[in-house]
Amino acid sequence: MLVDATILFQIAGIGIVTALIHTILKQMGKEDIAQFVSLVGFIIVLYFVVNHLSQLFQQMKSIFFM
Amino acid sequence: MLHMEKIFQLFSPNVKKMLEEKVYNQSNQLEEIRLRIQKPIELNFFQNYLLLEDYPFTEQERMYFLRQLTNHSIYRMEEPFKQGFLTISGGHRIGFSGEVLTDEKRIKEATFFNIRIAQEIKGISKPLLKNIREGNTLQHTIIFGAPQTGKTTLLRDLAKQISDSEIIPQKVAIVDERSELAACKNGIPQLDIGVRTDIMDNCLKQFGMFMMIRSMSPQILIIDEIGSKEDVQAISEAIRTGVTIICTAHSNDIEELMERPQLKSLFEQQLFQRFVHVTREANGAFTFTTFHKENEKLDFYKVHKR
Amino acid sequence: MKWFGACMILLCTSWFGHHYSMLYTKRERQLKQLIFSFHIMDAEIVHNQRPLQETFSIISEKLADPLQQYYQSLVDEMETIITNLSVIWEKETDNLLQISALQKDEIIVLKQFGHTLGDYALIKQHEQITLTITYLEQILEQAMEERKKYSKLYTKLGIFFGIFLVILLM
Repeated sequence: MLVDATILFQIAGIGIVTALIHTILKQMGKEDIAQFVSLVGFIIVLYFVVNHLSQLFQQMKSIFFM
Repeated sequence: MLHMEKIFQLFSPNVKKMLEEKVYNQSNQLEEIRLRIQKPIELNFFQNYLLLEDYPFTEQERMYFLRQLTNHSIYRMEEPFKQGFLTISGGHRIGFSGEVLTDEKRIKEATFFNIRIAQEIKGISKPLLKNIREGNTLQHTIIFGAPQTGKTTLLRDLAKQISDSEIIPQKVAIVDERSELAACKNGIPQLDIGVRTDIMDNCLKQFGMFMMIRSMSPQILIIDEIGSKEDVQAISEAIRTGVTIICTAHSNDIEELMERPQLKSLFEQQLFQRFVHVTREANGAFTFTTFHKENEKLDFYKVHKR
Repeated sequence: MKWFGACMILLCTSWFGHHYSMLYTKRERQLKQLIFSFHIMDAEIVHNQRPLQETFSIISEKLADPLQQYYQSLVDEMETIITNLSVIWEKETDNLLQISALQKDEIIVLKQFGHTLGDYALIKQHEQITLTITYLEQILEQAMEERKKYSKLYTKLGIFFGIFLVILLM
């Protein structure tokens, strides 16, 4: 479809790994770094999503303003 | 000078240099170096002494000294502190005194040191050998003299000459009660006492003599400074085993020697056949006077320039 | 080609993670060896009154690097006539911080020991050694706990971070 599988896996993968890293860091007692990593992960995912949404909107724009 | 290198190394570089300078001319006359905490270092020569006012033995110097002595392992002074002295390589003997642990009768902190420089004078007893011989056998001999007259030096050389001799080769045994004759360090003699010589180091004469006779079958037994009842007892018994005794004793002249209460019994048994009187001149020369058993004076006069 | 690159990245980060994890393991092992060396020192000094240079030589033969190097350097430095052992001990102990996995805490304990080494009578020397062993054992306990807590986590962290990068750059 418009959203190809790779991106989906990427977003999922990043989400999972970020969660895992967050847990590990929390176990180490480094709460602050854990939060930071989660934030970074979230931003990256957000970036991916926004990037794709923009692509989606571009495509929609081209359909409607053919 | 070389054989005193080991001693000079015990001092910090400044003091070492100064010692080398001061001792340069008279190195073979140096008998003692005395160290006293916070007092000038004293150099004792045969005829004079020097107090080095510019070089006090400070606490720092003392620590340096102890560290060099033990190779930075001061805990090794445990045994020496019980004995009161330590022999270093080269045969020099360092005695110490200071604060004592009253209960254990050993030194707690050594603040006074006396370094006795070992002086071997090889060959000095050669002429004496002639006199203490009867044909090919050596006679029981007692060497006597005032303190510091070189009896020990003489005895040491006598041991060597007899041991190394090709004319009258004998197996020699030394009971070195105060580690002065052979100056053993870890059982290894630091001074030359002959090739066919066995040593019992740091052992009381009364026990050492029999241990030697039992285990090492010597022909000549050499002992230094007899004086006690036990020594005398041991000697009279040892003579009966057939071994030849050569020993020393403190005395100013032969009459005084014969009258010494502890030694009297020894002379009454007429065990000794030769009596050698040692004296020193002002210039360091040795003189020996040998008496036969019958109190016949065998006038033997030897001058040795130091 | 992409897979090759991915493997490289993963390998790299995993290696980093493993390295940090091993620091904890190494520190624990080296602390145990250090304590062992002090036991040898105690035995040689108290029973045999062996001089320090010989003692260090004996110890160095029984250990592996980096502690072997540490004690051997002490032996080598003592080959010439030295003024003050504690200066040399301090220098080599500072160096130990660089060449081993040992941390500041135990290095400080070692340096303090160096100030009393070889300057006291037998009993006091023995006490100093025993005291140092006690301090080191306390540090060892902590180090063991840290190892249990952190070492596996760092390994995992390294791997996951690698996966993270791989996914990102896919």
